[in-house]
Amino acid sequence: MQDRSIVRLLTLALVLGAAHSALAQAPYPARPIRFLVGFPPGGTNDIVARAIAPKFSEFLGQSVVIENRGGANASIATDLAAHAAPDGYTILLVAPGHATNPALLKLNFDSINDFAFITLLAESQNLLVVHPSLPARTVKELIALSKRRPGDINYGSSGTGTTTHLSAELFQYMTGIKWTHIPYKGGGPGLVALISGEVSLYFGNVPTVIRQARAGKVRAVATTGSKRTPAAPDIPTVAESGVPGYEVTTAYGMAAPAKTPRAIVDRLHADVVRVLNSPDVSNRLRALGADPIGNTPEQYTAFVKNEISKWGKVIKAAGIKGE
Amino acid sequence: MDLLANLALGFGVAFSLENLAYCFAGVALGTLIGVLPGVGPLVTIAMLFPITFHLPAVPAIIMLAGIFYGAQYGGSTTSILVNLPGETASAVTCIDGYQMARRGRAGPALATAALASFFAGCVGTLLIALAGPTLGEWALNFGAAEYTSLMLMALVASAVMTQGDSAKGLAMVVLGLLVGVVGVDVNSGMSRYSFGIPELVDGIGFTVVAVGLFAVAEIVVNLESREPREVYTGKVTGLMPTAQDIRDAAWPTVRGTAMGACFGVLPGTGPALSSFATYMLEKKLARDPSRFGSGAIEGVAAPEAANNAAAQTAFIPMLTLGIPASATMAVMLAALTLQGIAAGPQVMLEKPDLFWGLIASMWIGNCLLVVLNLPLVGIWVRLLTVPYRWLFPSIILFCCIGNYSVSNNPFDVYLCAIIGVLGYVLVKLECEPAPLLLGYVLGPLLEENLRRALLIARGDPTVFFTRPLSLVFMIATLLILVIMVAPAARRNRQPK
Repeated sequence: MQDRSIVRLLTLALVLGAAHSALAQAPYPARPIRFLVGFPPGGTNDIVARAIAPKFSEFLGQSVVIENRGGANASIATDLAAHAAPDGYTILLVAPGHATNPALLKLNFDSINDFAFITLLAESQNLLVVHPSLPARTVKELIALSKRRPGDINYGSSGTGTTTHLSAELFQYMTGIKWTHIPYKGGGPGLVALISGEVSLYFGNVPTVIRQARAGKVRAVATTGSKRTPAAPDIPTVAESGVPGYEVTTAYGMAAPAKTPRAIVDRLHADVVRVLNSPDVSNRLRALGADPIGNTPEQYTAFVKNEISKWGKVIKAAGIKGE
Repeated sequence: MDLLANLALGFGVAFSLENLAYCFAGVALGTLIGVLPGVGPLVTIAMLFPITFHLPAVPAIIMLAGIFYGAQYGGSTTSILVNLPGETASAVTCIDGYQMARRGRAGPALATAALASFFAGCVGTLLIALAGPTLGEWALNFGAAEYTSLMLMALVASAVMTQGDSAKGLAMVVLGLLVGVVGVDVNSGMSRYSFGIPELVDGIGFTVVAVGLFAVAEIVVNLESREPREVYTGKVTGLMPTAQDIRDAAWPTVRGTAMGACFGVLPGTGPALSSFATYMLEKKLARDPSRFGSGAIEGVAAPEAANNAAAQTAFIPMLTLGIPASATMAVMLAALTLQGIAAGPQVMLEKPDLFWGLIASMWIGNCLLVVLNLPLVGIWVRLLTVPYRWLFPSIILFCCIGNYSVSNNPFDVYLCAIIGVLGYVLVKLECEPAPLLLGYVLGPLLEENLRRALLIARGDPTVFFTRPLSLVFMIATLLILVIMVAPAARRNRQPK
């Protein structure tokens, strides 16, 4: 037994040394896979990746190693993935900012053509909540109130260019009202500001803000998805409450460098979808407010293209300046 | 009494052999990993957090809390031994702790840090149990205007920190401000001083600045001296603090705990600000302020107590309001969420065993920390007898590993080296690095809150004087200015 495995190892070493192309013939995956995450450990992006990685390693038969490369709203990690060897040994957690970065930052890569998109892993939506002192219970009342007091209502966000900011910008863009943006550094301080009444309005990630709403600290008005969220089926969507077509989701996906062989993309796709379908992983994602998706590479590519063009328009119209 | 019954429930939960084991494992792991600079509580918790997926809720949270305390304390150890601050809060400990170590008093410094932390931890835990919800609500009174006035007060008070030349101190604060504003501006989303380098878009990390200024610069200065003198005095005078040490450290510990407990509740400012603030306070209160900066035990006890008390009360907004006060707390909140527990106003009622079990295990965690670390003091101190020519390459190596691990990017290592050169130049110019660090931490916070307050007030500057809490800080700022200027004016009138 032991002898045979030594022979096998030696053969492998020989093959590796003799011809690099021989590696391509070894059944994929033959070595650990690098999973790039654009944020430091601890954020939602990282938690999504860490929820997926163990099962994914199990199914692929090789370990999937998470590499956190934080910085510039995930564009440093995305840049690395765009220019990595297209051999299937580098994959990327596509961060929600992927759709907005082209309009906000100067990038050294093409957000569409430099990638082979694998699947949309999960999607979460935001919940529009207001301070109880604001006399608006529904989207219609809020629009009417905002029209009477243009520029008067303050809304908080977790930073310029984040979905908490852009949800509000899209809302103003589609309804023709005007609010004042008060940015905070991160979701925690933004939520504190809403609870203390420093700002009157906030679009926050569902699981974080819903418990504040249930405790009566803030009032839930509407969700930003195209469908009601399973976490709170009693809360209507913005779209069904008078702003048809309004939709903001926070999307986490998976991609490989462009030119990654189709067979490898298919293998990764098949296994990651199995991961998303396993009950413990999908429950973990749902607890974070993210609904597991797992669509086809074609559907996901179309989704990314659509999101990039949509947010490009909103960011331009709102006059948000990046670098 | 309710509190006693609740605490009894908590200790009942936490004192099972299994939970004690998880708590101990957490504290030990945290201490080990926390010794690396940059790998502070946040990174440690985030990396080890998948382990807790397979545990039930109570042991999972208890273990994470243990890691948190351990990592927090690990940073102090390296600050004292080799001038290597692991995170914001322990940078202040470097100033006097490292000087104590150089004088052969590393043992008492480490023991004092452990005991002061333990005291602060006990008080902090009791505070959460007694007044958690009230304190959580109190923190909500702090809006942008209050933060602005508080920061202003802290910056003005920081002039006290400078040794001698106040012009140099001021210059250092301003330099720190400039380093602090690198990166994307929160209000406009514009990049400042990033020169098109993507790594600079998020600003320069704290670890990079602190390790460069303290550890790297110190090593360069030590190596420069022609005759290879040993950096540490060979004679180690006792491992434990003397009776005099304990007398000296007692009140600073109490004051530090009080300051830390207040600041910890405020989201976003927490431990760093509290350790700077207590250090300044102790220096002002000391009969002989010149001892500070050359190994005053108060300079170790007070910031260590403050930082641990703040770490403790930082749990309050998370547990009672469901709001994470820091990135570390955000990970803890995520951990709770994944265990199916909605932290927030209802957690005390819905899951009393978890809430009180966590509080009891906080105390146990603090206790285990002392049990684990006091015997280690001897081992740590022996480390310093290693010849410097072997010690310094290892310190540099740890600096590199720590900086690299923050975002797995070699850029941070290079940047740290550059800041090390800056630190060396500053030593040559006899400029203190501490005010620079303070400017770096407070400057961006001051700017952010000032602009936010004015944005909300639609440009009306009277907002800082019409809100009562803000007015209190403004008056205090004025008083500090008067106190500082008065003795100087008196001296000028009566020349020596």
